Formats: sequence, C-alpha cells, structure tokens
Amino acid sequence: MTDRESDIPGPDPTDGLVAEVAPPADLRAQVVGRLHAEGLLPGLAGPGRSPGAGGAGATLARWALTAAAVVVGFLGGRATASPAAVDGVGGAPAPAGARWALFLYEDGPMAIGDRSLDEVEGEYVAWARQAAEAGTLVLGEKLAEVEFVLDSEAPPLERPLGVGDPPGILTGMFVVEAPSLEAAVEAARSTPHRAFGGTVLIRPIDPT
Amino acid sequence: MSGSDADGRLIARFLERRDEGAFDALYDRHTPRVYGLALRLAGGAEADARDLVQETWVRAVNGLGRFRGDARLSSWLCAICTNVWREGLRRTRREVDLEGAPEPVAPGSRLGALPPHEPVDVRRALDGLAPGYRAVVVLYGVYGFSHAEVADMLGISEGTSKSQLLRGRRALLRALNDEQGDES
Repeated sequence: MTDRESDIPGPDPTDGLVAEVAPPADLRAQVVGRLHAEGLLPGLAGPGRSPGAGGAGATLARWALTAAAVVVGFLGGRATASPAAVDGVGGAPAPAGARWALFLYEDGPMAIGDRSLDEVEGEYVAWARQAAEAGTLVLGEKLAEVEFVLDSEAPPLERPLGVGDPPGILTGMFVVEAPSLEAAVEAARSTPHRAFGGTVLIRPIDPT
Repeated sequence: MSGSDADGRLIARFLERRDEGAFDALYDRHTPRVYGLALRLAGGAEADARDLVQETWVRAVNGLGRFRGDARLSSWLCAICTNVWREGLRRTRREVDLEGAPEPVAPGSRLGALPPHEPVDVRRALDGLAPGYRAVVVLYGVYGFSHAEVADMLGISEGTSKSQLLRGRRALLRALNDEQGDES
C-alpha cells in the first residue's frame, strides 16, 4: 500500500484544481535574464544584478541560503545558561563570567551591500574565530530548520520554520544533551516553564 | 521517448555547452507546473509566484549537474520551489507579525492568475488557509506527492503531513461552508 492510499477520510475539496498554469509571457525573459546575470547562461553580463532579482533588496535573496549555512560554532565548547547568568540585567553590574545568549534573527533582506556571499559568510566565521580566541564565545551552533512546539501534555507539534505563530515572547533558553527527540521532549516537559504554563519551542541543533 | 529521457537529453545538452535552447525547452516543459505550484503556495499572489519561479530556476540550473534522475525533474523542481517558498516565509513572517494582520486582500482580487474554469470558491478558500495547511493540501491533493515526499519537502514527519492534510481539508471545507452560508 502506498501512502497515497492511506486513511485520509472525506472528500478532497481540491478536486478540480489543476497542477499546471500557463506562466506570464514575460516571465521567461525575467528568468533568463537572471540566469545570465548569475553567470549561469553565457553571453550577457557576468555575475551581478539583474532587474527585479537578486541584490540586497530581493525578497528571496540568495543570502538566506548562506546565512542559514553559516556555522559559527566550530570553535565553541558547550554550556548551558545557568539561572545565575542573568545577574547584571537591569543596571546591576554583571559578574565576571556571566553568559549571554545572542539570538540571530533576520527581519528581511539583509544590508549586505556589495559583499559577495563568500564575504558575508567569512565575516561570520571571522567573528566567531575572534570571539573564541578572546574567550568570549561559549557556544555557537546552526539550528536545524524544523521546530517542535510543546505547549500541552500532547506530543509536540512539529512544523517547518515560518509556519504558524511564534509561541509568545522569547524569555529564556536551555541547551540540553539528549539522545533522541523523545528525550529532549522529556527534558522540556520537566522544566518549571512547562509547569507554569509556558510553551517550550524545541529546535534541534544541526550536527554539521 | 519518455519525458524523463527527454529531460535527460536536454540536461546533458545544457550542461555540455550551456545551451540556451536546451534551457528554453526545459523551461517550456516544466514551468507551467512550477508556476502553478508557486501560485498556490503564494496564495495566488502573482508577483510572489514569479519570484519563486525565478529563484527556483536559478537554483535548479546551479544544481543541474547534481541532478541524478532518480526523481522526475518536475518533482525536483517542485521541491526546490517549495524550499524557496519556505525560506521566503521565514523572511517575511516577522514583517507580517509587526504589521499585525496580513494585508487585506479584496475577495477575488488575486484570482486572475489561475485558470478561470477552476471553482473560485475553492481557490479563495485555499488562498485563505494558513500557509502550513495550504502547502500540504496543495502538494498532496493537487500535485500528487506522497506523504513521504511532502514530509521531505517541508521538513516534517509523515505523520505531521497526514495530520496537517486532515486539518487543512477540514479548514478548507469549513471555509467553503462558511462562504456558502454567507451567500445564502
């Protein structure tokens, strides 16, 4: 039995929708122009910008790929933020050795100017190396592109990134070692955060 | 000659000498399917669908040398398109959150890009689904991918694909019923 024959009951309301749609006539020129601009087709401009595509302002800039692929943790050790590490917030001086979590977000196209993607990646790597040498960097990891939302006694909801609402305001983090997702979920369930009604978002750390 | 054979020959021709004619032929053969998927994933927004198709072809051409032929080229392209869409969703999400509700869309204002013979109410209801539901409903229901393939494309488990499909279909039917209720 193939999984298309699995038990999905009820009518399919999408019956009657077609898979193929004639593209706009000018789309081909746009695609070919972009391929030329990227140096993927010969004959026109080399790598650079093409109208309506690429560049720091593009909605789907290739930057996203590189940013996702950057691993800044190759020099890092492993540590878990301890409750004491939050001392120093609110104006009091932070004790020596306090740890801080830096969460990297992308709010849209990144202002990378004319840098190449290699240059952008290089800046992350250089920063990580410098921070590690200075003893500042404790942990840097690339996160896998999936998340598990644990907000009830039910199994966590698995979803790709960008699907669904964020589970609230980010207020803390733990990094745990666990041999399986189930074990990680157990660890998440055991946190006081769940007991207090909070949601724990579980993100696997990419092993690369 | 099968479609796969034809694709294989065109790919070889393209890789051998970056033949634009070979690319044109590949474009003609597969873009209607990729564009259709892009439009569905983008909720009918034509500009977004164009960006998706463009980025899909750029990545595909970049990776054609690694295409093994163990999947159909059209499936491979759809997988790339879905991946590009997911990345775009990640990037635009926060803007949407900051703005509050998504930009309102007049009923039917995005429907022009899709085939006119399709049931408008279904298209409208599909466009209104949450992106996660819409993706599974479209990939499984319209494009015929298996749950294993959908799971792979969306980075979820097969079980999640099945449950998302169920929930998505229910939401779609609910929206259709609501729409019919409004009209009566």
